[in-house]
Amino acid sequence: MTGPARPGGAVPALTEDGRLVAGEDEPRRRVLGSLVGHPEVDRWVDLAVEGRVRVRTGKVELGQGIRTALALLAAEELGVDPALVDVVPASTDAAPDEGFTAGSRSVEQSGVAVRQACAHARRLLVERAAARLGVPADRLTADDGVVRGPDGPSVSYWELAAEGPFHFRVTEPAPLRPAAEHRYVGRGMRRLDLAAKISGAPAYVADLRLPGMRFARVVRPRRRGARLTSAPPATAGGADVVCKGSFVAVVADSEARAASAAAELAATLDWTDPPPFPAGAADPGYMARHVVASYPVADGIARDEPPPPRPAPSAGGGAVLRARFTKPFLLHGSIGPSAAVALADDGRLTVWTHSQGIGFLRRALAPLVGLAVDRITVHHLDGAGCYGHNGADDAACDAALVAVAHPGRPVSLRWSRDDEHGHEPMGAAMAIELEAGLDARGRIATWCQEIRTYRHNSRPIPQPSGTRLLAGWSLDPAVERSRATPMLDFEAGGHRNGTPAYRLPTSWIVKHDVDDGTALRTSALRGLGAPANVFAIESFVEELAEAAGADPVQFRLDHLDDPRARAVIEAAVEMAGGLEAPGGLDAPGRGLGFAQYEGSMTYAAVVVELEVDPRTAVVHLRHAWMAADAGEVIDPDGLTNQLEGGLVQAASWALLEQVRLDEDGVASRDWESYPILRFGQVPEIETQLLDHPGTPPLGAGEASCGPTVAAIANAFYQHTGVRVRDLPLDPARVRVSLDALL
Amino acid sequence: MVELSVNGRAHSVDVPERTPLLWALRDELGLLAAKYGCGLEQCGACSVLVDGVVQPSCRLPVSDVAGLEVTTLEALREQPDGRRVVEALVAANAGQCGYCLPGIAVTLTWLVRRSPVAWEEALRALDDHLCRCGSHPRILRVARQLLAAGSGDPPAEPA
Ligand code: FES
Ligand code: FES
Repeated sequence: MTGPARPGGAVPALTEDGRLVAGEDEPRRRVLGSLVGHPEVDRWVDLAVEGRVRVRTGKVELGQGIRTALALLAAEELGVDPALVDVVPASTDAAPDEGFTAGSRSVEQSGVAVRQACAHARRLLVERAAARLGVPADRLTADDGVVRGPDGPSVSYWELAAEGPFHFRVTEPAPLRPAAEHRYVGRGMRRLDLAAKISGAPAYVADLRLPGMRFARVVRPRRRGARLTSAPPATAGGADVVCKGSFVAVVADSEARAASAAAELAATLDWTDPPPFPAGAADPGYMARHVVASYPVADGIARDEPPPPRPAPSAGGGAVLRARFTKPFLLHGSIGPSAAVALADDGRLTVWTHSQGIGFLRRALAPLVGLAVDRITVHHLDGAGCYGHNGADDAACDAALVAVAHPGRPVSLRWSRDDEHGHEPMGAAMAIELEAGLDARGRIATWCQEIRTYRHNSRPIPQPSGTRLLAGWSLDPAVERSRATPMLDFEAGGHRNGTPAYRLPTSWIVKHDVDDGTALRTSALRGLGAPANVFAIESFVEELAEAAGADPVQFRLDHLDDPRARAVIEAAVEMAGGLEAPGGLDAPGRGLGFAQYEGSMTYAAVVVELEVDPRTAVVHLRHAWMAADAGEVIDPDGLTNQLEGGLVQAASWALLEQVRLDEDGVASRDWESYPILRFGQVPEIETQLLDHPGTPPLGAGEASCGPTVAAIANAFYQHTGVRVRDLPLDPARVRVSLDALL
Repeated sequence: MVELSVNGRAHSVDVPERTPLLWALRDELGLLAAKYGCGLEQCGACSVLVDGVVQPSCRLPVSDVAGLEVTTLEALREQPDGRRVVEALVAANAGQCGYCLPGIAVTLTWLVRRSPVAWEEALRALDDHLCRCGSHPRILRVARQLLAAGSGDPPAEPA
């Protein structure tokens, strides 16, 4: 074992979900991004290969197209064709450590840094050219890879780069190219990585093939937390068995054999009978009984102090409404189960993983494999989309443990579908209670909101003691499980978007942190608390509008001052042609949902049109219209792809998804018991981007999710007259609602 | 030994007869385009053509395809219709993580080969594929283009 894992190199000042820590260097981070902490230009960009530009980033490709966005930014500032830019996959050996790739912060952190590093590189190239050509720098232009003087003489970037590294540390921002001169930014391009992926070329961790490679699977007990009662055999089904405490895996010469040996071994192992898993953990009553702390939320920040007295809801003199909204546990549900490759050799460990935080993973692995941090190298390779903290890090740990037990040959370990559905950290269940009073004019006077939430972050940040990597808890002696910690920062965890954007004369918001101390595990899933909060707030606002006798769109606008918020709402409603679908009595229902993600990022408004089949109780989505303002648009096609992908995933949550639990753990362990939206269920989507050149570019991976869930609930109400406050609106629940109408 | 014909070539693979075709392709033949997604015939990531018909390969025993022609995306992408499908998806940036797409490209190629096909039928075939990234709108747009071009008769917009 090593001492407390503490790496060499700067630890980025990021929160656990990859956001900037609000602190004294925040203004600098806004203009320099991750250059704060990693100021050397040479670390980010080099022109060492003739005709190519290499960009290094600590952020990783998750399917969000970050490599393409960074290539566009680098190309723009340097003045080269984007096709000449190579974005090097992140590695703990070479890339700047930028913490987690999460929360749509990649452009804000890495993008800003790459942009500034390249602007400085261009400036430094021009300085070199000035010396070489004997022309003052301000009379030179740099474009298309060439620095040119006013009358002819020119020199290529690569000739200039051959003079050696820049050795320049950025402390101040360089002037960026003005938006009016942009040639690539704002235009979009083909994704750099998609051609290989779509055509089936090896592109993912599980496609990595190395000489002498072996293949591994993990064997798990039926009930979560069970331990082995007797040692397993040394071999099973033609595979070697690896056993460390109660961590059991098989390793074989082919993936087929590993899979069949794992099934064979599983049938022979004896396990202890641990306490039953809390099958009712998503129940709001259960959650209320397991609140461990309550925090008042003010200005988006949860404060570790007693909540102030609750205001009387009737203070405004108008109607008072109350409602409770719930969201179940959800799965990330990657289409490709988690996988990793590891090689232990000569006292060193190399890991290839699709983790979102390779630097953190490296430090978390060290104590579990008994190696010093500097003996471990972690390379990022792409995986299937993860949408947050899924099994990626745990699979990397599993692979590392197997590799250390069988050194000298690389091990490719892959979770089964059963592993992934059954053991990934789930998206947290939430219950939100709202109470509001109107004033005599029908405006909101008081607003009380209680958010009960499991925790949204158990990423494997190295902990003072214990570990968050799954296999660690099975070792002998077991490394204690380090539980997730409640997130209190600005708009973090369960109070993300827990503060309405609407003007509220009196508001009282309390976050109740739920932890039942059991084997239940939750972590970051796309948007964290935002989708549930936006679903609750946007549903309740419509209930209040109705109580006030107001139009739901006008009611929102009457409570909104921010012109950018108003603009997306107006744009989405206008795209739809209003919230009344044509068709008279049989018309489909339309509903609106709006949020500014995290109260500070992308604005999105969604209008959904749907119908309910009274026979099957299935909700059919017909249309969705979306307007979004993500600041300056770097890559319009990529942004639209992210926003529409978020809309489809959120529609899937809203209509279908719910983890089923039993006394062993997760009972819904395949795509039949945990269905997701299919092609035939996807609506026609129209998206409009409201571009704001010159304002900071904002990530949009999560922005459309909450508004979509809310829009569906509101459209369902408009269509059926039934307000559904518990997700999902699956046929079972819709049936109950429709029957209640009779 | 099981005798397999894959992408027009005969192979003898030394695996138990019940081994799923997916693993024989990936482990024995190094053909990595077909992906493992569920192993349960529920997601379509592992799709291949067997005697010209699209099928999931993750539970199909190799012994069942002896004597039949297996075609993977590695071969399809070299043929004109498969190449057209892949290029259309790439040109539309019709994916995010991309993991579901090799399987979808096989199904789209199969549909293009059989076109004209009714849009309802095309949708049913696509419904055998899961995509978690929500790339559906773009994939559907590409599918409509491809099938319209293939039949000369644009399929109706979905309801
Ligand atoms: S892997 Fe074959 S259908 Fe999912
Ligand atoms: S693009 Fe990621 S699963 Fe389809």
